[in-house]
Amino acid sequence: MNIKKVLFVLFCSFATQNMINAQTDSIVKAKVLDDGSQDAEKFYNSGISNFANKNFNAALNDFNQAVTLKPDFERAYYNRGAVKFEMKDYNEAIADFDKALTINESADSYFSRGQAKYALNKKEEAMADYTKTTEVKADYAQAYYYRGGIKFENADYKSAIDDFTRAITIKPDYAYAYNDRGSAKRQLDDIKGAISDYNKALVANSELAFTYNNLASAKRKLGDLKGAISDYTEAINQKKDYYVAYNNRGSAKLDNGDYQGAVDDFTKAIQLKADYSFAFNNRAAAKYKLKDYKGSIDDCSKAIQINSSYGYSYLNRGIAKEMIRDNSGACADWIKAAELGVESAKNYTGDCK
Amino acid sequence: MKKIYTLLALIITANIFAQNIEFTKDNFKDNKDGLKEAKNNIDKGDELFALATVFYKQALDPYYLSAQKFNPNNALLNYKIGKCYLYSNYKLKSIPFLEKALQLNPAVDPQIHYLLGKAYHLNMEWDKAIKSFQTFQQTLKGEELALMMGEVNVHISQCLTGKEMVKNPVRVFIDNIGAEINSQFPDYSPVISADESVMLFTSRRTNSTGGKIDPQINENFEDIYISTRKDGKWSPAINMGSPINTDNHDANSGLSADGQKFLIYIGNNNGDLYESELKGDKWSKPDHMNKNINTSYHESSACYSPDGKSVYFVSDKPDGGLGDRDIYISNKDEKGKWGKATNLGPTINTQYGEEGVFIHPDGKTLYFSSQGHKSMGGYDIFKSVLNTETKVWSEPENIGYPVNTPDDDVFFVTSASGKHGYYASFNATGYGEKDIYMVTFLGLEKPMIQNNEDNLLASQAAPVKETVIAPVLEIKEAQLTILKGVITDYLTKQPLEAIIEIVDNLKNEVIASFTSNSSTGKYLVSLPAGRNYGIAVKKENYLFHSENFDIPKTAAYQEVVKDIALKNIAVGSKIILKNIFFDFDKATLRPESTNELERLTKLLNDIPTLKIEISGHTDSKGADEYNKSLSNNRAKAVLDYLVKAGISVGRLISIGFGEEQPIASNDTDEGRQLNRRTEFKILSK
Repeated sequence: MNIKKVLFVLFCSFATQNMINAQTDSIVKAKVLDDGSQDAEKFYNSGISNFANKNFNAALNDFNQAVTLKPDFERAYYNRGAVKFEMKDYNEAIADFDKALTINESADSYFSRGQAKYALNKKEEAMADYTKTTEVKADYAQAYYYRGGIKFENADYKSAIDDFTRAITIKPDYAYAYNDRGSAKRQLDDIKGAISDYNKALVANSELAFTYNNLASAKRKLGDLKGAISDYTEAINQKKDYYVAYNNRGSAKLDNGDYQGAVDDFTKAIQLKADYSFAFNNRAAAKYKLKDYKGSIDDCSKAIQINSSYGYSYLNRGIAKEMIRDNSGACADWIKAAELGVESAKNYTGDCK
Repeated sequence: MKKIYTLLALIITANIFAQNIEFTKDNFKDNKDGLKEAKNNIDKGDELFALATVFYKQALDPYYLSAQKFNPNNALLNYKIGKCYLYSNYKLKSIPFLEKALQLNPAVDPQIHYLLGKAYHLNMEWDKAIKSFQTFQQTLKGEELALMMGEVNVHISQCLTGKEMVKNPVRVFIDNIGAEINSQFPDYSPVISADESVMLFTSRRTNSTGGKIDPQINENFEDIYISTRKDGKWSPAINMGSPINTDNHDANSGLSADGQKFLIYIGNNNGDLYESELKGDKWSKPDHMNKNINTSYHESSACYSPDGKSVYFVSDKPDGGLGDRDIYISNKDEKGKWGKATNLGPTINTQYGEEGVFIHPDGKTLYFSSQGHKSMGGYDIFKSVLNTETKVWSEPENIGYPVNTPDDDVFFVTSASGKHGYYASFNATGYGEKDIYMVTFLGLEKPMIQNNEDNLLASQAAPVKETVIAPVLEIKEAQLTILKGVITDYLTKQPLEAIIEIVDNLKNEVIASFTSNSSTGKYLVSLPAGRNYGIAVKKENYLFHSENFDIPKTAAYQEVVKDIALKNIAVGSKIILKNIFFDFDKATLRPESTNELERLTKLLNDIPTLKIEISGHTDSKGADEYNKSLSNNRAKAVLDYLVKAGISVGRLISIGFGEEQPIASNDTDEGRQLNRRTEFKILSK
């Protein structure tokens, strides 16, 4: 029970709030505390214990006591902020990080405040905090990584690549950073570069289903359908309910002329996610190839039922209706698709009266 | 021991197959009468079989088929039945009989492998066909080898082409156009007006003009039929009758884009071409085309260029020919006579036959059938495009399977939009014999768009969506504008026969000149994209009407309906204002007269020099004086309206004639109604 000697991984859960898998590389270590000579520190340690056991209210109470007893207890403010973050009370969390920063300008506090601001969708402010983090601590790999993520979301892929590269330089086994840099390269149409990075991510951590999925999609883009299908399969093996990968593998099979195999994969994706409009839409495309026009129309209708503004599904339904000689129905669908912004639908409406 | 097994195997194999059974007494000891009848049937069948292929149908049914029932295992009879079927509509039925003939006696006839090759070819069994043709080639020797080798090689090459073509079929719907047009008799060779509103076709029906059978081909004589389409439905086809159809073969060929003129094939003089024109609702007596077109050889199909200034036609004349039948062009000279014919040249014409020529209303896309080029068998339909600047034809392109088949595919026409094609074909599900089918071209497959997403950012749970957009399809549609409508008199609404001149505004030259139909007022002109057109509609004593169409090269196909009303300005002409109405027994204009009065006002404004007399007329009921006064007041009411509308009173005279100038009998209600009228007369212009 020598709890004081234990390294607390308080931030483990906090920092990975939005991650698919646990992200061990963004852990912020808590301070090792001396024997409890002060009450504030006792409450502080109790708070950490309660946090670890997900007793957030009790943890909050403990940190409240700690800062009451010791108003300049920077780490207690910091940890209270972490608890509030966990309780999705982001504004209050930011207030605690602000307080911690007034006492001591620590990289962790900037970084965590950045995370809270990101959660509030204040991306610019979050980015500023990550920058501040790196100014305080130049080798703070996660700060570069998360800043790169925001740049990616802002479609500033070149800068994102720079940030991911910095994160990788600091932490050469940073699998997530490799994955995301690969994705940024892919967005810039550097598909070969993307494949190289995805492979490096998998060398660092071979248990990343989403990276296998991304690698497969990059291969599909290059026309390597066999390689794509194999990597999607690996993603599915690692994550049995990975409906995104089923949907993607279905598309690769469809591209590869395996129409029935594609139908089966889309069906599996639908079984895993009953309202997955993409899988219905894509299954319609596979059924069309199998000349099952009625089935194709039904699937498009389901996709449209799930998402009434699904322009592409209207386009596709029109294409299937044309084959059963329902010209007025096809025209109505193409006109609707064009209204919903699908430009290619306008190519087909020329004969519509 | 091994030898014994082999021997046993051979004996067993031989017994699996039936043996050739001759029609001899020994083989049918128990049924002498049956044998006699069967042999009799074979003899009768043989007589017909020996005549020509056109008599095979009768040789087959009832004679050969009856004998076959009696003895299905005679190699020669199976061979003959197979051959008869091969030259019938039911060509594929030949296969089991030819196969059986070969199996019963491989030496049944030297041509057995050749015929089987042809049958397999028609059934699109490419590899079997090639093998049969190659086996046949091995049997050839000496003169026969020299004679047949080339032809058999063509078949093999067609099989190889066909094999590739069926792998990449064109996307089409092929629909029988229905019982209004098709019959139990052969219906074929359809031609259409550019807007698909008129169809002419040829049919060999038992009630053909003259009602005779052509002994040369053992079929009814051909007549031409016409059908029109309204609201998407074809009217019941009617025989065009005299003077178009004669006792001879009368087959339609090209129909002009506006449906007002057509070319006819008549079987005289070894086959010649004639022209007929629609005057009002009557087709003129077919006019024999001059010697630049017709020769002592066979002139068959033909078509007009969309401007009517050229005719493309097919002839097998040796002079200037490149092979069998070739396609020629003749242009009209300044006097309107067809000029010297020119062979379209080796890009189009081959050493084999070309037939069924059709030029699209765009004036540059030629459709024709050929046994040469890259045919998948028999005549296939090809397309070639004329470069209007270099005057060079593009390499003919096979329009693809399933429009083309291993059999003969001839006489194919397309609509101006390029979306539809019409041709004749035999299909067991049709109305009997050959029927006319409409092909709807679907173009390249419309790609369905898929949606995918990936977990691009490791730190984000939400996947990033991606839509894979297929490349935009190149829209291959005809680049021309069809301008059509009805020309009428502005006031009477009667259809008018007017001249429509098409002018290239840039070159300031008249490209073409057409006439609207006198009984319907209908006109149609084809305006290929890439020019600025002036359209002038003219008629004597009518105000000139003009339109402008600037059609850029990239413009898509469009049909523009433009009804044109011409204004009559002949001095002395009287026009009844049918839409002017007065209150009963009064001279007060009713509100429903407004449109007619506004039109009259516009006419006077458009022609500021025009002077008119407005006259009122009544029927004979009532006292003369009263009628005169009423008609005078009514004419005055119209004059007052016009003056109020701004027309100078100096240009107008009003007069009441009462019952003095009847235009119909006053003894009937209808007649009296016609007599009660307001009219105007042009005094000067």
